[in-house]
Amino acid sequence: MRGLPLLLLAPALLLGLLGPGFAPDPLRQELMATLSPPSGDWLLGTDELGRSVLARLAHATRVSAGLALLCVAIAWGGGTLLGIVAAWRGGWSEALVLRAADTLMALPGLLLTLIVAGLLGGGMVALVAGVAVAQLPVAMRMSRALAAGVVARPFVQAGRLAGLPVPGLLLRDVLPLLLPQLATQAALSVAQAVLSIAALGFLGIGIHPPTPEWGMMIAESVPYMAEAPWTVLAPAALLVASVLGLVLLAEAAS
Amino acid sequence: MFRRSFTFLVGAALAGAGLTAAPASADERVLNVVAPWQVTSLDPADTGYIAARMGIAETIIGVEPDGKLVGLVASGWTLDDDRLTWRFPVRAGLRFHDGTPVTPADMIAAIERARASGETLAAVPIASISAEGSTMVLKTTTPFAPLPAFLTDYAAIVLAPSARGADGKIAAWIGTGPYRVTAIDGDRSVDVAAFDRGGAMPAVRRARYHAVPQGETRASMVEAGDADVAYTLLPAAVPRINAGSRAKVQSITIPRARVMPLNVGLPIFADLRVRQAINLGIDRAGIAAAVLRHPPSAATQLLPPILADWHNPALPPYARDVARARTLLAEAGWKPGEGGVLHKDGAPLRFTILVLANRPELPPMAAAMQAQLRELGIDMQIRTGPGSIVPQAQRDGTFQAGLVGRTYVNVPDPIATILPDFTRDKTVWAQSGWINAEIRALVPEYIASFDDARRAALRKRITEILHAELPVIPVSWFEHTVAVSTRVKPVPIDPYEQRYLIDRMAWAN
Amino acid sequence: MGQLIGALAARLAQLVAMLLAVVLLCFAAMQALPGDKAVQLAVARHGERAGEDGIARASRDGGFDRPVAAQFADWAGQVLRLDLGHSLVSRRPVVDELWPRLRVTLIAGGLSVLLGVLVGVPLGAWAGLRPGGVVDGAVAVAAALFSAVPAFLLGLLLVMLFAIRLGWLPAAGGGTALHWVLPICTLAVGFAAPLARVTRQAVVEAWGAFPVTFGRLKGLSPVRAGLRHGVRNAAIPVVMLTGLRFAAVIEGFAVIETLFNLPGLGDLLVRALVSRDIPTVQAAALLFGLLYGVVGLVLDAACAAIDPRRRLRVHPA
Repeated sequence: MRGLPLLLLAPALLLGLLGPGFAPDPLRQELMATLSPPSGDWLLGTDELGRSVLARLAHATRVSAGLALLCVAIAWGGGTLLGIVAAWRGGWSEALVLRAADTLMALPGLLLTLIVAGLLGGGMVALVAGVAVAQLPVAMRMSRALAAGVVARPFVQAGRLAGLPVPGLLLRDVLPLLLPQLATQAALSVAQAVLSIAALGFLGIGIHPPTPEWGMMIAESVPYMAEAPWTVLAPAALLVASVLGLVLLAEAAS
Repeated sequence: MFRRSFTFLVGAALAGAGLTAAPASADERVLNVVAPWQVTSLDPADTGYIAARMGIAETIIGVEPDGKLVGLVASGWTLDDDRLTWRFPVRAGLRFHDGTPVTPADMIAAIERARASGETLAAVPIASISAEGSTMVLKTTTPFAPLPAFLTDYAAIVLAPSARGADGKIAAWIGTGPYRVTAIDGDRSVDVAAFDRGGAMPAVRRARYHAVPQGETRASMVEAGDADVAYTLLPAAVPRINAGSRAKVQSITIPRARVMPLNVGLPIFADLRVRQAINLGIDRAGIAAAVLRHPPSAATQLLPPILADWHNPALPPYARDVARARTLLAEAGWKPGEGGVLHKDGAPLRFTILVLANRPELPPMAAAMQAQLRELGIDMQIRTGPGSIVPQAQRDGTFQAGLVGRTYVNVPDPIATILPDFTRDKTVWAQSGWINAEIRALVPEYIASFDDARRAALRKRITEILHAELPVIPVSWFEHTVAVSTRVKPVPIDPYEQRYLIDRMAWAN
Repeated sequence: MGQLIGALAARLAQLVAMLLAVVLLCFAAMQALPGDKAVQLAVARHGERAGEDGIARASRDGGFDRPVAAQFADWAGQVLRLDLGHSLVSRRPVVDELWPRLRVTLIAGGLSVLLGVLVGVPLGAWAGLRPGGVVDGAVAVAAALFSAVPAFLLGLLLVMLFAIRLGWLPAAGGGTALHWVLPICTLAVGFAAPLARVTRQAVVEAWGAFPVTFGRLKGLSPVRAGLRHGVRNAAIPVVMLTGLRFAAVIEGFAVIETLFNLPGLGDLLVRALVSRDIPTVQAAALLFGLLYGVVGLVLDAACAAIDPRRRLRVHPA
């Protein structure tokens, strides 16, 4: 049971790390071999343009997982920083951070993503920025709430009174105490980011073909589902297994 | 158990919200028509085609599926010997759905409204337009042979004076067609019922237009039996629908093409040999078979055979020839460079193609073309986006290439599309920077000519030039796919996409 | 009581300030978005037939060539007069566009949240009462699985099974109550799964906590002890999640709307953004902000009612 999350994450990890090495070209087409079922030549079959599903999946894993991690790193890195500073300073800084979080939360996540995507001219950068900005308020609020409890503790207040340098105090004494809980939340956020990116891929926002991405692979292949179920099942199974693995991992940690 | 109580809950809530529809009795069967286009507004310049296709409103002149022009609101037309004065008598006894008789003033109002909104009819050089008894008299400043064809433009559907709201804008669709509107629900559905115009009533008494933009959702509705007639299906869904028992797909090739317009002003495309190499590099047969699943759609020239007047069988059909393409590129001075991409004077043979994502088959087509051109050492980058990316890039001058769907029968004469697409320096949807003096002379001559033999010769020459010069590279024609449920007899298909002809449909039992 | 009213007034003032921020941000963003608004509007209106004339007309209708400050002043003046203006695409009053879509979103969102609660809470509680039991294991597996399946995939699978294979329900569209079953179930399952997990956790913690143990020592049966002392504590996280989810449902099911062709707010927002229909985007953002604020307010009030120790706070943490 304890190994289950890792077992679920293993296919994505293996494919993402090693896949592009042994399945090199996700764009190579064989228009004469479209929608071939899985076989010795094509381990996971081919899609509607005769591209290897396995090769595309390997590259898609890198793209999806990489983008999700990047989103979470940006959102939680920035959010934690703002949250801790807010808790430390209190007063108007804290109020400002909380109101900013409220406002960001009140704007629909999709609107945020679309606006950021529009501002940055589309593409992956915009996608990452949009999803990260949508996750930012959660990170800000959570880290502020957790930090407020830690900041109030005697040893932090003692350090404050002793006039220790603030950045060192916050980074060395406050942050480590928050990390376990933040990491758990961040793991859930990765799962959420994977789902968001997939949903945006399904709506056709963000990543451009032919770059493979899980959500877009599913969306592109849905029309062929009856004829060639492997084109949908392979990315869908990988997506679900990875998200499930992350959720269980976060749960086991908490 | 759970589902039942839940359905009850939903039912109760929806009944409260007034969303449930009353069940229809057997003789009031509703024909469910499903198509992608939403009723975004009631302005005929935006969505007049929906009113025209559903048989709600009619244009002054219409086109039969065989291409023959016929009078709709007008009973026909005559041209005086001056070749400038056209006469359109109102069809005798014709009434709007509100009961008022149609007058020439209503036709005039329709034309003026459509001209104010620009586009097709704005190209007609109208000198004067007036009513003489029950006839509309239209004078042009110069001879304009395709005038009747231009009057099939949906922006000029004839609507009753009562269709205008207090602000003078069209607020309702009160037309002259075989069906009248009974309800419009937002941008998603239009309900119609047969209108008694005297004579036999159509077999289908009630119909509902469903706007369903998602292609996959349209296919699901057909498969689930929720749609009786569904237009514009994803190629991939066709075999699946045919394999089921609820509907069959009818298809024909229509005068619409998926084309790759180029910015001929760019140094790489200014060289005809590069355009020819791209043209030779594209595997149209493979794309038509694998992506479109309709091999007859592979374009061998710009206009398909169904346009008997304009299709030119003498032209050498486009086909893939990688060796010839390589030779042309080498002759043009392109040499293999780093990354397998051809280079000339240190610059790579690279361009960005803007692909409209609103047609789901275009991105995979672009992906296929990308791989095929890659074999020649041409690096084509794909950028997908909403419908506005191509006109946007055309306007700000960043346009390099595009992949778009283009209809050549906005009106039943392709000259109405050729005029804006090939005789101007800059266009909205087609080439830019292609300046061909011959075609700029031939097109106005064609428009002014009433001599059938001369017109045929002009058409032949225009198609020859476009075929050889490749300002836009045709990739495929359109397969007009219509899924028809087994509840309905096979339906007539209008290749000009002007009408659904619901009044000619019949229930299967 | 006076304190309560004061806190309420403060929350309302906050709400207004937040709405103002949302509107300003939105207006700034719409101005900053790249691209020629007139082209985008013309294409939204005329599709592939958009030409030079249509683009010129769109530019006139939208007033895009006027100074930004004048555009904003006009719009702000309208809003203060409670007039949200006219949609640039449909030319109808924005209110007339928003209202039917709000109804669709509220009905689909409300019923799916209700259904999610009706399924998720009892299942989670059942699992939580006997941690480690068979039920707990089964619920854990199902809940984890369903929270990992993206909504669009679940919706597609449900359509394939119930609409196409079995033919019990319509695949998409509107008109009858049956049309709502699949989209609501898709949304509800996605909500019930995390809710069951949270409920289970809350029940395990509350039931193991002191008051319930104390009640059992008093001689109450485990269930009665739990009902008397445990429910209040377990309810807080469940109510919080439900409220947050409701806000998410309101804004976030563009995917479901697309899949089932439901004319809801998410779909309106996406299309208005693409077509640069600024009055509609701003009105929709305003509405989302308002809904979010109201849900937050109700949520805090509910938590305060459940747990008197939580006074109505000005800052929800």
